Amino acid sequence: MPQFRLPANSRVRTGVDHPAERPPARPCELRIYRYDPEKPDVNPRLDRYEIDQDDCGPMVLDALIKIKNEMDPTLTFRRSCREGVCGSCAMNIQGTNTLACTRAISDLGPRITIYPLPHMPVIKDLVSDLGHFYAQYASIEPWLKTQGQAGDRERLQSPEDRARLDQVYECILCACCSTACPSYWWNSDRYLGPAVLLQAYRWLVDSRDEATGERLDQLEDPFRLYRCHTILNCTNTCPKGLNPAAAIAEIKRMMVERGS
Amino acid sequence: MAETRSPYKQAVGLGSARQGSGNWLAQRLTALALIPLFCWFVWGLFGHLLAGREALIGWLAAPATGIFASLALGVACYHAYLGFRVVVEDYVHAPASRGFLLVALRFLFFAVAFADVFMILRLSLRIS
Repeated sequence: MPQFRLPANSRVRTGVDHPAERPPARPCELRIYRYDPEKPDVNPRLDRYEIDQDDCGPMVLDALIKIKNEMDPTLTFRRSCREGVCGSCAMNIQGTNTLACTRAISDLGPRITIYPLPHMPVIKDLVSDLGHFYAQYASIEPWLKTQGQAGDRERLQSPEDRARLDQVYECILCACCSTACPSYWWNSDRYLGPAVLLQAYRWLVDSRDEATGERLDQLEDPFRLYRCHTILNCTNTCPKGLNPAAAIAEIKRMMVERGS
Repeated sequence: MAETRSPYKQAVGLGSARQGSGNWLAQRLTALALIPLFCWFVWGLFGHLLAGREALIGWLAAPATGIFASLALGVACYHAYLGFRVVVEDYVHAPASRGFLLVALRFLFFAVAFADVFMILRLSLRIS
């Protein structure tokens, strides 16, 4: 049956207070989820950090880097490109999954709460375990499949066919959408989730791919595809402005089309 | 005990069931069919109820009413079965409980649909 409360050792407690060294001109308070895997018996906590926005870059990731460099080197998070391309710094900021590097502090008000991506195992602090998510991505075989030998030149595609990949290929697999989806929370063991289904659609609509039927066969399942109940959290939260829900609806339409 | 299966093995699981589109389409089609059928049925039911019991029984016993009322209730039961099935699949994760509830739902809604049609048939035959 569904579990309505977090297990006792997962309930978040009040954490450590880290005030600014000097009174800040433009204060900003960040409450950040902390969990130490080396102390599994200690509950996770929300640490409070006070920073000065005048002495910090404009994005939430800038604030996290400032905290790690100047206030608390034990704070752990993923980051790489710092420009919304790699998807590493996906986390739950002010209740919404997004990228810390593209979320401006000034849009969030003076108090910001940061958790790791929801409903995923936490490795440490803001770092979620995305192993299952990546395995699900691998399971859709995200590469071009064709029959026969490759030709001696590139595979051609009309401008119209190429246009069908727009708003699909831009997905950076940050997992913001999948971890915002209640269906994925309850059934992530079998439901592929919006990000992986968007990627599956990317190959279904690729005019060069010759395994469309095989791909649809693999997706036709009450759990893999049909756990999507069009909740639309995925579309609402996507930091790249994509629409995974529309892609999933298109896959369902293709299923009906080939069966009728 | 630590998980020994690889992440890929866990992600692939038992493979694709190669079905599900039929149920998904049936949910949509029965929902569409229920809009006119249920509006008509509820409108007729309350309209004739206000006119008295005999008027209601007379309306239900008419052949056209019997056909469409059976259809409305049968489609409603099938739609409700599909909906409850999704709820169980979503939220009940213990295999034994899930299996039991899915079978029980099938029997329950079949019994309700059968009872609905039987009562309408009984009314029709008794009057005529």
